[in-house]
This record gives sequence, C-alpha cells and structure tokens, in this order.
Amino acid sequence: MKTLQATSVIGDARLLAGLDQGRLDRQAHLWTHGAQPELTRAAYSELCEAVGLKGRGGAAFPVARKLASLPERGIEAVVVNGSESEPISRKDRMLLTLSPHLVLDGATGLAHALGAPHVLIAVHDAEAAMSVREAILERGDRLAIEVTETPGRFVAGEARAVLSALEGGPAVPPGRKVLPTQQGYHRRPTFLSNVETFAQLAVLARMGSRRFATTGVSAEPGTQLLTVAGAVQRPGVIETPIGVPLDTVLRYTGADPGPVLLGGYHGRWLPEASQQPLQGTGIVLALGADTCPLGEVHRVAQWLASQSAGQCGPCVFGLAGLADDFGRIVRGDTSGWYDAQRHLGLVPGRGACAHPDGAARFLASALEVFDDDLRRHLGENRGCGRPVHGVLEVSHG
Amino acid sequence: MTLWYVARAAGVVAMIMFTLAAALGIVSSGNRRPDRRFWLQYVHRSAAVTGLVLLIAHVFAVIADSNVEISPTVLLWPFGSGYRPFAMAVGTLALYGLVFATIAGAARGRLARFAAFSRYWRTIHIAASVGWALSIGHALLAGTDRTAPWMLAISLSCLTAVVGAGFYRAHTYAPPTLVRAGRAR
Amino acid sequence: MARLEIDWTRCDGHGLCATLLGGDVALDEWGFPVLKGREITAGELPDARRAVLACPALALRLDKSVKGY
Repeated sequence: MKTLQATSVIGDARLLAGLDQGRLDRQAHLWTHGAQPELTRAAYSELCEAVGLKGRGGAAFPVARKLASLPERGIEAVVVNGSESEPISRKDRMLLTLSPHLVLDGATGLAHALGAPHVLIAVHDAEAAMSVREAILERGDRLAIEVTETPGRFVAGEARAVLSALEGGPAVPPGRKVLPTQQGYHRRPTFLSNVETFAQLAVLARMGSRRFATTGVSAEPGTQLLTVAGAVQRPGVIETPIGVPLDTVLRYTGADPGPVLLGGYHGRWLPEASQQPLQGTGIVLALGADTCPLGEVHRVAQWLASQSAGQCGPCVFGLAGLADDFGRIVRGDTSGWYDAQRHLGLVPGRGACAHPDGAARFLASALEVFDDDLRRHLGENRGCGRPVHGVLEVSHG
Repeated sequence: MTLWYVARAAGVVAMIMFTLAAALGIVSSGNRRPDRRFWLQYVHRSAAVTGLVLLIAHVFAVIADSNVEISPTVLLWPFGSGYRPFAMAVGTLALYGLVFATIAGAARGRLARFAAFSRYWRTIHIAASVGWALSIGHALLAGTDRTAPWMLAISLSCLTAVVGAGFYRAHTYAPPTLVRAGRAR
Repeated sequence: MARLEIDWTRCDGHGLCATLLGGDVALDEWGFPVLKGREITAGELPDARRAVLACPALALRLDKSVKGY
C-alpha cells in the first residue's frame, strides 16, 4: 500500500502551513502557528456558530450544535477520532503524523474550555500514533492525554465503536442509539470529533471568525483537506478552500479523464469531471478510463461485505448478497441486476451503524452512473472489454 | 389438617406447572415457525406464572400448618429447618431460583430498557432450570407421599418430560440465522 | 407517538414481531424484520407491546422519545 505523504495546497495553507519542511515539532509548530489562545466554552460556541464549522468525519454535523447539546458541567472527555477507517482517506493520519501539535492544541484547548479532564486520541496508524506520543512529551498540558491504537476494520471507525474500543471493549457499534454528548466515554458526556475538526478548531481559535471566513463559501467558510487518489499523477492530501470546483482539483493533481468517486466507499459516483463545488467530502478519486468500472465496484462490494462487524442480519446477508449480485452483473447475468435492485432497498437503515447505508449508497450510485457499462455487461458481449486494474484499493493495513 | 392437604396439592401442581413451562421453553426455543412459537411462548409464560402462584401458596401453607414444625426463618436461611433439613434446603433453593426467574421473566418487558438486562437475560434465565431441577429433588426427598407409587410416578414423569423435550430439541436443532462470533449475548 | 425500534445487534430473525404486527412489520428474504410505517398509532399500541414482549431476543423496543443525530 502506498503511504501518501505528498501534501499541497490550493489557496491559503492553514492546516498544512509549514509542512513543506516536514513534520512540525513543538518549536516549528509555535513558529508557524503561534501559541494556542485560551478561550472559554462560550467563545468556542460563538466561533463555531459564526463560521458554521462542521465535523470533518463524514457526517458533517455542525460543531456548534454538538457543543450546545453537551451539559453545563460533568463533561468527561474530549475524544479525537483518528481511526480513519475509510481505506482511501489519508488526511487524518497525515495531520497526526506531520502536524500533531495543531490537533493537540485543538483538543486540549477545547478540553480546558469544557472542563473535561481527559483527552483521548484513537489512532489506527502506527506512525501517526508514534508522532502524537512524541508530541505529547514535548508539551506541558495539565490534562490526562492518552493515545490508543484501534483496529482497522471499516466499522471500527464509527464514533460509538471508537468509544467502546477506548473503554477496552470490542470496536463495534452498540445496538442502542445513544449520543456521545449524553452517554459517551464510560457513559459520561463526551465531545467526540474527527482529527481534522480539532485542527480546524485550533486554526479558528487563533484566527478569529472574521479572518477564518476570508476563504471558502459564505455558508461554510474555511478550508478543507481532501485525499486525492486513483488515476492521478500527484496523489496525496491537499488543502483547498471549501467549495473549490472539482475540475480545479482534478487538473491540479493531474487526473486522467473518466468517472470520479466523491466521499470514498460510502460515497457517490460522478460520470465525469465537472464544475461541481466540493463541500462536505474528504475524498476525490479519479477512476481513469482503462479499467472496468463495474469490475472495480464488484471488488469493493466484496470488501464492504467483509468489513461488516457481523452483528446485524440485514448488513451481513444484504452486503453478501450484493457482492454476489455485482459478480453476476459483471459476468453478464441479468438476474444479478434484478437481485441488486431488491437488495439495495433492503439494506439501508437496518443496522447499528451507517455501514449498510453507506455501502448501499455507493453501490446504488454505481448502477446509476455506470449505465452504459451495465448495458455492455448485460448485453451480447457480456463485458466492456476492459480488465480490472484495481484502481479502487481494498486492502487496509 | 386442611392446610396440610392444600400445601401438598399446591406443591405437586406447582411442580407440574413448572415442568410444563420448562418443557415448552426447551421445545419453543428451537422452533422456527413464528406463529407456532408465539403460542408455545404464551403457554410457557402462563404455566410459569401459575406455577409461581401455586408455589407461594405451597410455601405459606407449609409454614402456617401446625402438622410439621417449619419456621418462616427457613426462607432466609435454608439450612436451618428442624423438619427434614436437607429436603427443606433443596426446596428453599428451588424456591429462590424459580421465584427469581419468574419475576425477572414477568418484568422482562420493562427491564428490556436496560442494555445490561438484555445482554444477561439468557444467563438470568438459567436460574429457572436450576430451580426446576431442585424442585424435582425436593419432591423426591420431602413429600409425605414421596414413596407412594402415584407420587413417584408424577415426579418421574416430570423428569422424563423435560429430558424428552431436551432430546427433541437436540434432534430438531437448527442453528440461528446469524451466528455472531465472539460476542457475549 | 411511539415508534418501533430494532436493536439489530440482538435481532436473530425469529419473526414473532411480523406474526403479531403484520401491518407494521414484514420479513425480508433472510427472515429479518422490515419496518413499514414506523409510527405506531394508539389503536396498535397493545399489539405493539405484545410484540415487544414476545421477541425472544429482546431486540424489539417501543420508543416514545426518538432521538437522532
């Protein structure tokens, strides 16, 4: 597996500032970003509200609303979810590896403001974990900061699965829907968010809402991290203003023409590059034109089925069924298409986490966008004549 | 003297009811037909609750009756009975198991709100099996009529019914639709 | 209004809920419940309660306050 370390920037460098020199230690971090100001809880709420900051883990939940749903006192922990279980995404481990102090500033700053005694960091990547541990030793925070390595299964990155793993339990989502802000770490109120969210908080605390809002779109100002992968010349993590056109990103990274996947293996397909503004997505993958799209999707379907935690019937049987359906579609068996249509209706909303929903969204959008390929596979030739190159990576280290 | 008859009758019928509940529980847990299973479950629960009522009647009657000297303290300390101490101890332990399991079962709907209860429900329900087995032991050891052929026949039929249900269950065993690996259920 | 909720990590697909609540619950091809309407009216409440009690896996719940992220 390639470890993407190449970083580049379109527009302002905020989260990625100073990284052209490599990893920022404490001194380089302070030199680049300055010291973290001490803000109150009210100040954080106001800032997040003013710039409409959203969680960067995929669900795009407004941070201000998450803060508002926490009780006045008794907040147990601030949890940094760095498990990054989506196999294409690299942005979180990149931040933790190269700019750990920015993430730690965001997390400890908020923990002080909320009066939370614990900062817990869930990391899957060994290199990232080492970098964060090293960074903690350089700091003098008056807080209990803990780094825990969590397993790499797709559903292990879900917020409640991460909390369960941090408590020493299995890294699977519990069957009951509880909010971490009410019943989080050890059933106590907890603020949990994605790594990038904390880095954004650290930047926002330093810049203030007005300077923060000088880039991006008016409803959601600021920058975002994108992992660009697939058939591109310069894959890696890039920082762009929110709302940057997809075209610009693809041209900047030297992408081959062809279909584009937004948001990873729980995301959606686009038939080709467009002017569409990128907002609320962390992954851009160019498929290129010389691989068989349905064959690629079939491999991912098998992988998605294998990533089920095996807890919920509709996910276990539905995703296995869909993997089989897509196999038949690729081989030119029309019954596979009919079964897939039925199974896609039976999977969403029927699990303890959003894995079945995300997987169904990805597969449904493939059937919609790869319409022409479907006809070639289900028609006389029983295929599109292209091999499967494995542009969509499915191994996860 | 009437109380003594009530005590014995209630005890015997309670044992039959719990046997019925146990046998139906064993049979229904392997049944894959929902409509049939619903009725089996209904009779299973009714039998258990009837058994509980009769069991309480049995305990009250035995203590209140002057024929034998059984103090209410035996309910708190099962090993202190003057009258057939060993059989009384077995009976009291059976009482604990059955009352605990039946009350937990009756309150199952309300307690299901708590995640811990749902997780340990099957473990909790083992108390019923233990209680039932002890109640058969109590019947073979304690009753006035324990050596009478008809009473012996009832006790042994109860034992046979449950063992038979167990064989039936093992014979018709179908694995659950979803086998969850490595998870405490 | 009340709503049926399934704890999918507990559901074993016994199917008793669909027997009792044919109007609200169907079974999919693997035997797992599919909730149709999701809102339980006052008239259906007794049957819904019965279904909750009947579930052998304790996977069905009647939630009067439904929260979501």
